[in-house]
Amino acid sequence: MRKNVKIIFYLSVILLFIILPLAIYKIYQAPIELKMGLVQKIFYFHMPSAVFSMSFFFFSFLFSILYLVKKKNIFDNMASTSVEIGVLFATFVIISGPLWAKKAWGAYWVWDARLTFTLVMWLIYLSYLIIRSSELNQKIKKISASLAIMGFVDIPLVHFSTQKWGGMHPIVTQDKGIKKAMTPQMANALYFSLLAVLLIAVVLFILRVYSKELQDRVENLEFKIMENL
Amino acid sequence: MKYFYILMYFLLFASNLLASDGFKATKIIKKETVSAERMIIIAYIAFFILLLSYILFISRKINLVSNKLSKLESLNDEKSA
Repeated sequence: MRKNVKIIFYLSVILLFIILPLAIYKIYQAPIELKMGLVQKIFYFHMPSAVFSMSFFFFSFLFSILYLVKKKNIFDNMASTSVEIGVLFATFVIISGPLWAKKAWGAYWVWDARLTFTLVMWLIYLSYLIIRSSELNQKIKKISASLAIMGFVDIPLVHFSTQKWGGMHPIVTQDKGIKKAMTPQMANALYFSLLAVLLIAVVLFILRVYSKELQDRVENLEFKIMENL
Repeated sequence: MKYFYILMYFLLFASNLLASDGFKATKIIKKETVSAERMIIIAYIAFFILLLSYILFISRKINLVSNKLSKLESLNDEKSA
């Protein structure tokens, strides 16, 4: 691991140990929402997970373009790691959303625009991981990079679906902004959760890219030894 | 290869188009008395289980790969010596 990456990694781990308990405490302290009641507290990890899953899918889109243009393995490693982390958070969004919906709407799932596009997004990136789970060669890397680029079409649809088609999914901060839409304690809890999820994502990203770099070094060395035989 | 890309793009576009068909504001079905606490606990447990399993997966990968790397490096040194 490079020195500056190491510094970011350790700093993120230290910050995470401070921020995560604080976020949980702030969520506990945040007032109960009037309409939805206690179950609304799922929101404090549901929304940051959704935000960062989409952000990481966007990163995978950028890294995939860079991989196809520059043909450097590091970009492929970064793109695939971004997808893995995006899928991880999207899985949590898909689990926590229905739990919240059951209490708030009376049903675990409705075929609302936001929910459907989120499911489509999750399936697209899951297929990306399935493609790469087979033998990983240059061809597979190119196909998966193309899928990450094409799959990105769904992200703006997820984001703007509620504004465009309405539905049951609430629009949190469309016009008002977080500060006006929530009480200060609620906004604080949300900021801490956002920061905690961001730090988790950074730590996971650095570790996973490092593990993939090690894998590349093993493959290169194996190739070198085979050549010498 | 280009047909594969075209097919994938078409499937993606078609699935989004199908998904967008008939999106109208749905009515709230019914309010049920499910325990909010239970839902919150399940959601947060799911979050930490997902996170821990991914961390375990990465640490296992790093462990396995670094072991393999050190073995290969020593083998390579032997060969070159």
